[in-house]
Order: sequence, then structure tokens, then C-alpha cells
Amino acid sequence: MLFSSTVFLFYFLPVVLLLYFVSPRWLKNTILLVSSLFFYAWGEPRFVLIMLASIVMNYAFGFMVDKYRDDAKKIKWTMVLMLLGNLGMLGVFKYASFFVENVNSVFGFSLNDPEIPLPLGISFFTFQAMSYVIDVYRNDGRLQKNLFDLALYVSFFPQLIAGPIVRYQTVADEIVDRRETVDDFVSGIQRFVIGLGKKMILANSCGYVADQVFSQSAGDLSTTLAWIGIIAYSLQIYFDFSGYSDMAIGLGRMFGFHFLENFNYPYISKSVSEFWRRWHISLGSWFRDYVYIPLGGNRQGPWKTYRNLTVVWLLTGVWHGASWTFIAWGLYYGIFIMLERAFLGKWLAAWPAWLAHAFTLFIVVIGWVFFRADNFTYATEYLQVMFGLHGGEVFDQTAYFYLVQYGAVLVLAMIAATPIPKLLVAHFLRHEVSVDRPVLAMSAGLMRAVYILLIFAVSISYVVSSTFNPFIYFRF
Amino acid sequence: MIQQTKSEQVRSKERRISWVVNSIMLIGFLGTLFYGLAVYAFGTEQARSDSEGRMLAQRPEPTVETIMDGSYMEGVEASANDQVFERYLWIETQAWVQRNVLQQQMNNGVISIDEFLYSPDPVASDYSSLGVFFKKFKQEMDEAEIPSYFASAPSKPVYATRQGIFPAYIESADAQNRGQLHERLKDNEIPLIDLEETLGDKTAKEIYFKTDHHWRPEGAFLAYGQIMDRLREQFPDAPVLTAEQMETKTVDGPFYGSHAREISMPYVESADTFTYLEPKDGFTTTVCRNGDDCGHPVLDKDVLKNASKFTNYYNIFMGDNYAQAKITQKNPKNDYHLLVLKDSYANPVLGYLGESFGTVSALDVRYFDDYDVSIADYAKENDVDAVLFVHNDRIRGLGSMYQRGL
Repeated sequence: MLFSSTVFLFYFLPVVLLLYFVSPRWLKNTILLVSSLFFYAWGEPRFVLIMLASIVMNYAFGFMVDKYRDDAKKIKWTMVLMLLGNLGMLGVFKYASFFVENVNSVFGFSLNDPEIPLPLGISFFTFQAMSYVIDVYRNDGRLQKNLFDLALYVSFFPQLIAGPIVRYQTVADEIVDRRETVDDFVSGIQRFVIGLGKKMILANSCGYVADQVFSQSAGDLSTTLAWIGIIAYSLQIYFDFSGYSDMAIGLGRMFGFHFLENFNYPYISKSVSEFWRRWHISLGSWFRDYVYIPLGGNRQGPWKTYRNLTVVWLLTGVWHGASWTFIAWGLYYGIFIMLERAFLGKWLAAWPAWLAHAFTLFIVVIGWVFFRADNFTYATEYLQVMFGLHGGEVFDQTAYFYLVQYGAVLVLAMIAATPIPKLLVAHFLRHEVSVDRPVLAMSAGLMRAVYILLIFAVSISYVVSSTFNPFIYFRF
Repeated sequence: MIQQTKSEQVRSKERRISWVVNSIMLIGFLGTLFYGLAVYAFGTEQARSDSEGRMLAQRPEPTVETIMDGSYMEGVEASANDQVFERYLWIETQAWVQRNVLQQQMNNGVISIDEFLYSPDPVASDYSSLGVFFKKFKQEMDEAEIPSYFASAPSKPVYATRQGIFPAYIESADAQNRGQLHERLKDNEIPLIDLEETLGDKTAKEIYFKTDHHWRPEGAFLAYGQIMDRLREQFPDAPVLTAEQMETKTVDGPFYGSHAREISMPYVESADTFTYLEPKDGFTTTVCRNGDDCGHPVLDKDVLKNASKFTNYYNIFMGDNYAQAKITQKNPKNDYHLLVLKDSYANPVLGYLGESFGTVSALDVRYFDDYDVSIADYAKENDVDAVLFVHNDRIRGLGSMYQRGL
């Protein structure tokens, strides 16, 4: 079930809100858990069992960790088993076909592709479940003795299938004891509506352009069209994913949960390292805290630091999908982050801000070619077209058409990817806090309400008008 | 003390403002969600959408099997989409934003230029699939000694291309595709009746609806004249309707055609006036639909009854599209039997042809998927004297359908 679907907006969400807010406190978590399982089962009922298995397994590991934490040998084996269990499950469902395909290709075998379907959001809920056990192991979070509360943490529908990856320690207290307030609820509405608008109005429009361009043979594209396509895709993936994160954070807030931010205007970064501190923050911090730092981080000399970075970025690529293009995409970032650590970072800091910004955007946009292309051949050909190395046209009628037809939405999306709209809104609504001028303050408040409800109405109009609306991040 | 009172006053004002703003947000947001829920759960389901020209999905009945295989959920999602409250208002709102805020000139592949709606086709085609069909078809017709003809009308985008109506950024391969279609006919020696010869120098208003992809009955009547000029070489004594014998009748109210429904109303600058031609003495034929459903007129005026904003008045011609239709003269003027292979574009022409031939049979190529048909067998079994294709040039998708008619 997509947040941007009529069945979620006009069926699931109002029913859950109603049940939740009329229920007594002791029943609220149960309502959320049952709703979350229903939400997950809606798309693929049989995969609920896999998620439940993951929950029960990690619930048991939590107890084992708590019990054996003082026994070095047992705790080590417990953690190894926990990793094997979780990564094994992820490996079977997400990477088995990729593994078989490559073994066949390298060794000339003809092993059958197991063709195991990918459960929605398995990467997200597996990482969340692992986070629970690791946090308990590190004493960063309390042991959760109530299986249903742990199940709620792993399966809570706002962040279940597309993140953000909520660390156990972030919500451990709120699962047990939280307070819903009108201010939080309204703030949740605002955040949800902004996310819905990002997804429906900006991401889908940009996505249409990207899909049209990438559906063509790279050799048929003009250089301008190839740039339009990848810029559109860069905007699509940002608004799609950050929009989804906004909706998740907003929904969480309605129910009294406070998730951490997942995006912070990544396209204004002035270095690749900064980009990754602003992009998919929950994944970056997960890998930092659970992989990079345990491997030694940057405290064991430059070569081990580079080794650790290679491991982290290889895993980042693999996490995004079972394909060599994703692995290349991860390593591509790893290389730039290592270069920045070696010398490039100092250069970028010394460059004029606009140049460092342009350079970073260029690197990021090129990286998205690998992310979007179905295979290396297409990615390579596409890059050749982008740099005019294909011997074809620089500009053609199709590029002209996309500029005229989608130019305004692309420009709007580019502006919206910066903090400018937020600053503008803050400027216009600054009088909302001028309590000594009540009319002005009330007008500003009303403007905010109208602004949000207008975006909500337009977003619904896009929801109703669309019939095909998959989230990009669903299959990761 | 004074300071404390002032601070309380400030907080009180803040709370009041916050209360008003929060209330508006809550009412707006939750009101919309719960109204949507109430309409879906308790409202009467709509059966059909005229604006979309299709039946709407209904709430499915759950079974263990459909729940487990997910088809129940798909059914609920489809019905939730189709039955959402004020569905068309939302769709129009989206189109309005798209046109006026995001400045998108096209919607769903349709563009509005000087009140006329066009749907240019950017995809070039060599019509090879139709070429395969033409070759086999010609061979079968030659063996049966039945002459065949292909009447090819220029589609609206071809007309717009010839007249230089499209702006430079619009990609249209329609004129090029038309050339390819005619090449395939020439390759296979199927005589072409190029209706552009008659229609090409008319104004768009004379030939085409502004908001529909079909031609006007007036344009179809001009085409009928050219078709008969050619067919009378084989059927010299077949009578031909003249313009003087016809009168134009106008339907009250606006007509919003297929393109208007596709592009949606915010892009539509003006409605069409729907007209149809009828012999002053009336049509002298009767129609059998799909074999045994007989006694229908070629002009089905029931379509005009209970009309709504998006009633498809074009269905007055032949009363809609049928896999097979047979038009017979009540008092046969001759025993000629013409077989027309067609899509909806031919429907107005069928009525006129019915006045010229004792019998006109029509097979709609789009229904070849649904039943076994062999054009050659049909022609032989029914003593057909000639086969006439009537299409515009926008038929690159019909090749595989026609092949099923071999």
C-alpha cells in the first residue's frame, strides 16, 4: 500500500487514526501493530511471515545478548549468529538470484535461478531489527521484553517499507511511553502533506521525463536530452525518497513518535562527503555506527581507514540492490570520499563555494547514471552521449519538447531542492509569532494553514489522476 | 508580577492563534480523509464514468483465495481509485495545475491549438505488420476474384502537419507514417482511394471536430463522394447520395469528444456543436448488429436521449461499434454486397454507403481478437462483390489485429 494512494488516504489512514485515538492507552500499541501488519500484508500477504520470523528471531537474540553479555565467548557467538541470521535472510531473498547468475557466468555452471520474490522493505526492516540487537548489546537501548512492542518497532507502518531506518534507541522510550499532542499532530499533518506534495507533484512529474528518456536506446538520444533525463532522474529520486521520509516522519508524529531527519537538502552540498551527510542520513549513520566505527573508523591509520571506507561503500552499493551497477555506484562514492579524505577535500574547501557546489553536483549526477541504468553497457553509452562522444546530435526536437513541456516543473523542482522555499515560507509567516500584533499573527497562521491545505488538495488531485505510482525505494 | 501577567497574556494570545490555525488544519485534513472514507464505505457506487468512457471498478467481494493471491487488494485499490469522491473534479484540478501552474502544453498526449485538440504520434512506423497482412489478404482476394480498395483519410495530426499548425517542438511522425501506409498498399497492389485529395484543401472546421479525433459527418460525406467515384468504376449503376439530398441536423448542447475527455476540461477552449447528416427523406436501410440483433437504424437517435456533459454523440452513427454489422436496404435498389473493414472512423460513411449498395457488411477489426473470423471466408460465404477498407492513416496498431482476420 502506497501512502500516495486513495486506499491509504481515504481508507486505511482514517480508520487507523480513529481506532488509535478512541482506544485506551493500553490498547494503542496493539492497534498500531495490527494496523502495521495489515498494511504490510496488503501488498504481499505471504511475506508477513518472513517479517514475523525476523522479529521473533531478533527478539530471541535480544534476550541472548542480555543474558550472555558478560560471557565474552557466548556473546561473540550470539552476535555472529545474529549477523548470520539477519544477513542470511537478506541474502536469500535479495541476492540469491544475483549470486547464481554470477556463479553461472564466471564458472560456466547452469544452476537454476531460484527466482525468490523480494519481500517489500526487507532491507529496511532487517537493518532495524539488527539495530535493536546491537543497541541492546552496546547498552544503548533497553532489552525489550514485550514481543509485541518489539514487533511494533520493526513493523511500524510509517517507516516499514521505505524508511527512514529508525534506530531502536531513537524510539525505545516512545514505544513504551509517549504523549500525543495536538501541536505534534498538526505538525505531523504539515510534514505528511509536504512529503505527499514532493512525491506527487515533483517526483512523479520529473520521473515521467526520466522514464521516457531512459526507455530509449542511448544511441538515439541527443546530448541535451541525455542531460535532461539524468537531471530529471536526480530530482525524481530526491523528491521521491525525501517525500516518502517526510510522510513517514509526519505520520510518526501524528502517533506521538519522533523519528530523526533523513534528508537535509543534499543538493546544496559542497563536497561528496557533505552530500552523504545530507542524503539518506539514517542509512549513512547506520553504516557509520554499526560498520565503519566497529571496523576501526579512521583511528588506525590511513590505509585501514581506506579499507574501512571501501567496505562501507561496497556495502552501501550492495544494500541498494543486487546488481553490479549498484555496487559500482557505491564504490564510485567510496572513491570520491577517499579522494576527499586524501586531498580533494582540502581543494574543495579552498575553491569558491559555487565551484565546489557545481563539482559536487556534477559527481552526484554522474553517479545517478549508474544507479538508474539497467546495466553497465547502457550506463557507459549514456555517459558517452552526455559528453557528446557518441557522434550524434547535441540538440534535437525531442529535447526541445521536454524543455517546453516540462521545463517549468524541472525548474520548480530544482528550486524546491534548495532551502529557498523554506526560507520564503518562513519569511512570509514570520509574523505568526508577533503576538503583539494579533491580526498580523493570525493572518500569517491562516496563510500557513491555507498553504498546507492547498498542497494537500493539489496532491490528492495528482493521486486521483495517477494510476501507476510505484515508489522507487520499495524494492530496496 | 506585572511581567508575569504580561507573559501569561502573550501565551494566551499564542494559544488562541495556535488553536484557530490548528483547528483549520485538523478540520481540513481529517475532514477530507473521513469524508472520503464515508463516501467509499457508505456511498452509492458509480457504475460508469462518461468522462473517461469506461465502466468503473466496483468493490470486490473478498474470498480466502483472492485475499491470499492479492487480487482482492488489487480490486479494492482499483475501486477506491474509481469511486473516490468527486473523482472528475480532482482530475480537472490536476489538469488545471498542470496547465496553468506548471505550464505543460500537452496532457495525455493531446495538445490544444487554436481551439482544436490534436494528438500527434511521435513514433515512426513502417507499417510492416500491416504489410504482412496486405500481402496475404491480396492473395486470398485475388484467388476469390474479389476486388479490394483502401480508402485512407488524413488524420487530424496529418492535416495539422500539412497546414503547419504544430509548433516546432511538437514531434509528429503522422505524415511520414501515412506515406509508409500508402507504400505498403502500393507494394501489394491494393488500390488506394486517397481521401486527402478531397479533404486536403478544406478547412479544419469543415472536416474535423475540435474536441474529437474523428471526422465530422460533413467530412465523411465528402469522403463518401470520392469513394463512390472510385467504386462506380466497378458498380456503375450504384446510386450516390448528393449534397442536395441531405440536410444537416444539429444536436442541442455542447459536444466534448474523445480528445476533450483525454486532455480534460481545463485545456478545452470551446465545445463542439454536434451535427449529423440525414437524407431529407430519411435513410432507407435497417441494421443487424452482431448477426441477429436486427431492426436498428443507421442513425441511432437513442444516443441523444438523457445526454450528459460527456455523452459520446458520435455513437449516433451505427449506435456504437460492433464486431459485425449488416446494413440492408428495405427496398433493395441493387443486389450489390460491399464488405467494409473498419474501425470507428468509418461509422458515418457506413450509413451513406448503405444507400448505394443493396447490402453493406462491416467487420470491425478491433473485435477480431474476440472471435474467429476469416475475412476471405466471410467474403466468399456472403457473396461479397468488393471489399473496402475505411480508416484514417493512424492505424499502426491494427496490423496484428488484421492478421488475426486471415
